[in-house]
Order: sequence, then C-alpha cells, then structure tokens
Amino acid sequence: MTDLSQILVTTLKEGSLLALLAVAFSVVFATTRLVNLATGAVSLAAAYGLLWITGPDWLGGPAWLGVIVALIIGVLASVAVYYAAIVPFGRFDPTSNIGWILTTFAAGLILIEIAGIWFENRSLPVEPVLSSVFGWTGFNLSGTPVRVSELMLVVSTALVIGVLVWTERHSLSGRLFQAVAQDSDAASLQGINPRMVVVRSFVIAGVCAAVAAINMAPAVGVNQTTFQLVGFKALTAALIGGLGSIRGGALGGFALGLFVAVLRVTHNQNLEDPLLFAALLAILAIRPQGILGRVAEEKA
Amino acid sequence: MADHDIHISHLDVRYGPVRAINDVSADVPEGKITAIIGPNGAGKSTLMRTIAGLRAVSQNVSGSITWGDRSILNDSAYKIARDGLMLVPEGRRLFPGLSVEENLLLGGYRRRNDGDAVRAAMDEVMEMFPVLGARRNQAAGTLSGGEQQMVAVGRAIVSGAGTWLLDEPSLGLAPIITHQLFEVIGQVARSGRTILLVEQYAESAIGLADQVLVLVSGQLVWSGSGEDARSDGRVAELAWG
Repeated sequence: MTDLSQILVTTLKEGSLLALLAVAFSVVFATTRLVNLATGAVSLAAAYGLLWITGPDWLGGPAWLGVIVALIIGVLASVAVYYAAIVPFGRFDPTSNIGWILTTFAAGLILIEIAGIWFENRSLPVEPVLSSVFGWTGFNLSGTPVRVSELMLVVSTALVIGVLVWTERHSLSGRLFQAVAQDSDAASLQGINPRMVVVRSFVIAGVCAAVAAINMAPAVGVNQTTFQLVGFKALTAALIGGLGSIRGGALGGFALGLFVAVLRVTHNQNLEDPLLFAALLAILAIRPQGILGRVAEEKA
Repeated sequence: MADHDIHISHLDVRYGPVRAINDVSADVPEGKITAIIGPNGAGKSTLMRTIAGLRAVSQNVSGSITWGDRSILNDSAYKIARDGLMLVPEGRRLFPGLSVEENLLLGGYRRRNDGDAVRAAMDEVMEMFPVLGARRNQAAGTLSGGEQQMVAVGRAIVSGAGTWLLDEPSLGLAPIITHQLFEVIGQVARSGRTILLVEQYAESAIGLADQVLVLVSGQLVWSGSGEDARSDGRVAELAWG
C-alpha cells in the first residue's frame, strides 16, 4: 500500500508542475505555432518575484503579496518575451516563424541573466507560501505524508487547468482561442484580431508558469538550472500529450509524473532520462502529433 | 445610400519576381454582382485576398484600393472584415474543430454586441440550409464539401456584412448544390449587398452578374456589363484560356 500511495502522491506532485508548464508551452504553440523556449525562464522570473517579496533578506513581506507579485511578474515576463523576441522579427505569420524559436530561447537567457545579476546569482531558499491551514499541516495517505504545501500545488493546478479547459469550451474567449489556433487567417477574416488572441495566450502561459513557480520555489529554491530543466521536461510532456492542446499538456504532464513516480519508488531514478526520451520517441513514432494533438490542417 | 464601391487602381501584386496582378484597374459598384472570371492561375484569388487584406510575407503590392472613401490597401484583414467587407475564401477555411454553430457564431463576431441580430441571422441560415440545422453540433471538419460551403456562406450571412467577396464558392461541389448556392447568392445580392464573385465556371457566374471582369495572367483583358458578357460568346471563351 505504501508503494501505491507513494506513487500516487509523487505522480500528483511531479505531474502538477509538469502539467502547468506543459500547458504554458501548449497554449502559446496553439496560437503561434511556436515553441516558446523562454517558458522555464518566465517561471524563474516569477519565482524571483516571490523571493523578492517574501525573502527575509529582501522585503520580508507576506506570502499572499508574494503570490500576487509572482503572478504579475510571470504575466509581464511572458508578454515581454512575445514583444521582444517574436514581434520585431516580422509580420505575424505562423507558417514562417520556425527560426523564432531561438529568439525566444535568447530572450529567456537574457531574462535569467538580468535576474541573476540583481539577485547576485545565489541559489536561494524560499519560505513555503502555505505550510498550514488553521494549524493543520497535512495528513497521512496510507503511510505517505502529504503536506499542505503539496496539497496547495495539486489544488491550484487543478483549478488553473480546470478553468482553462472549461473556458476553452464554453466561452467566447475560448472560441476565439480555438479559431486562431485552427486557422489564424480565417479568424482575421471574421474580424478577429489574431494578435490580441496571441497576447492572451502569452498571458495564460505566464499565469501557468507563475503558479508552477510559486509551488516549486519553496521546494527547490530559486535555482536557474532546476527551472530550466523542469521547463525542458515539461516540453517533453507537452510533446507527448500533444503540443497545442490544453488537455494534451495536462495529460502529458501527469503521464510523465506517473513515469517519474514509478521509477522513484522502484529506485530506478538513474534511468529516468534515457527511459523518458525512449518513451517520447516511441509515442511520437506512433502518433507524431502527440496523444491528444490534432494533425495540422493543410489547404486542399 | 453611403458610397461603398470598391475602386481598384493600377494594382500590382508581386511574389518576388513573379507578377501575379499586373496594373489592374476596376470598379466594383455597390449593390451589384460583379463576377471575375478567368483561367486557373490568372490571379483571381490573389486579387480577392489583396482586397481583403490577407497578404503573404513575400508579397509586394503597389497601386491603390479604396472602399467607399477609405484606402484599405494597408489595413489589416481583421479591420477590413470588422468594418463589413467579408471574404469567403477559396477552400472555405472553416474552423474544423469547432461545431457548425460555433463557426456561424464566429461569423457574427463583428457584431457580437447585437445578439438579437446574430441569432436572427443564424435562424435565417438554418432555414436557408436545413441540413445545417441537423448538423448544428457537429464539428465543421466532418462535413461534406457542399455543407462546408454552406457554413462558409452562412458565416458571411451571420456577419451582416454589406460587401461580400466570394472566392470560387462552387469549387468541388456537385452541380445541384452549386445551383442551390447560386440561388442564395442571387438572393443575397437582391437584398442590396455588394458582391464580388470569382468563378472558374464562367457560365453560371456570367448568368448572375451585373458586371463581368475577365482576368488572364494577372491582367484585365475584358470588362463590361453582364448583358454584354452574355451576348458576346468570346467572354466565356477567354475565361477558359
């Protein structure tokens, strides 16, 4: 039982972080056909925001303010990547912007460097945003301890992704998002401004990256390498689930979480990376568009 | 009535060294059907896309296009559509993953604050094409070609736009459906809308048009009234290339 509950808890924990960041990749890819390699850096920027407000060596402010500032910084950084690394390089055209991948990567590096200079490149611990609710600090699931901070991670992830999935299906914003994702030119022929929808997708990606950061920073510290690595792992998750699909990103994140959990519980962590990429290759060989991805529609 | 003619003057469109449209000047009068006919590769679609503001990155455009008293040559496609000039593009370009109803609703995006008008127009479309009513909740990508074209035209109806550009609406459709479609286009025209229609099937387009333009290799080689085009057998011949 302990093994099972341990797998469950680890899957939810790891899966939530990966799902949030995978959704960030997917949402931006859907509207721009662009893999935004600054996603990990945006998350890191949000983590720095949390540290800046709550860190005892910095402002020493309350956690709720740190969360708000982290969200704002995540959104601003994400939109800044769009305006700094994508807009200047030509008219918005989803079919010819493959080369822009490197410009987003560069923008991410710049973002990290600026933050690094300001925070003197230290790997810095961050206080948990939430360690107890009215004195309750967590519970035991068949021998596996679950802390309140971990519960917060899973609940906030479910909330963010749940709202996104619902909005995509049932609101005008969601329909606009799908329209631009499926055919940007056709959307503009209906009077929809594609750029407005693209900017919104970067806002959503910023929120996802910030929520991931708020949960991850207290657990691992504000650490550049870790955030970049988790970012790339999340890209793998998005590819597995289907880049461009919100539900695909979530599914890929939790699938990868399960994978990591099983390896960890069976003490096979060292196999994680090679097996992970073997699994990615296998899935993409069978379904190149990922599990929930849609094949791009070509003009007949 | 406000002046919503389209005036095209000395229009040149190039893709790199290739000239797709070569010094074309033409007027599309308000409230009339103007048909552009011509063989494959004559630049008909390029002309339509250029008017609607859809431009490829590698494309160079010179000359002028005005709509009413406004120059639209450098406007974004969404602004032109928002203000009521609607292109129903070649190949229909529906949102394949969205339902028939959602596609139609997005056609009404430009007047989304007038829910009553959008709903009334949706009902009108369902009445015009009863098959769409039955397939209301079906993904547009799963429809047959004819049904997709009905949604594409329906989207323009729901938009309430006054100026329509129809690019090869009959492409790939069975004759009986083409006939039905042209009836609807005629109906739309009689309601006072301005229509610019591109067709490869010259006869049916000429039969409907008030004015005919023949485009061959990017150049305007004939223009005249629909009557003249109908009596002059040369016109349809030109269009076949």
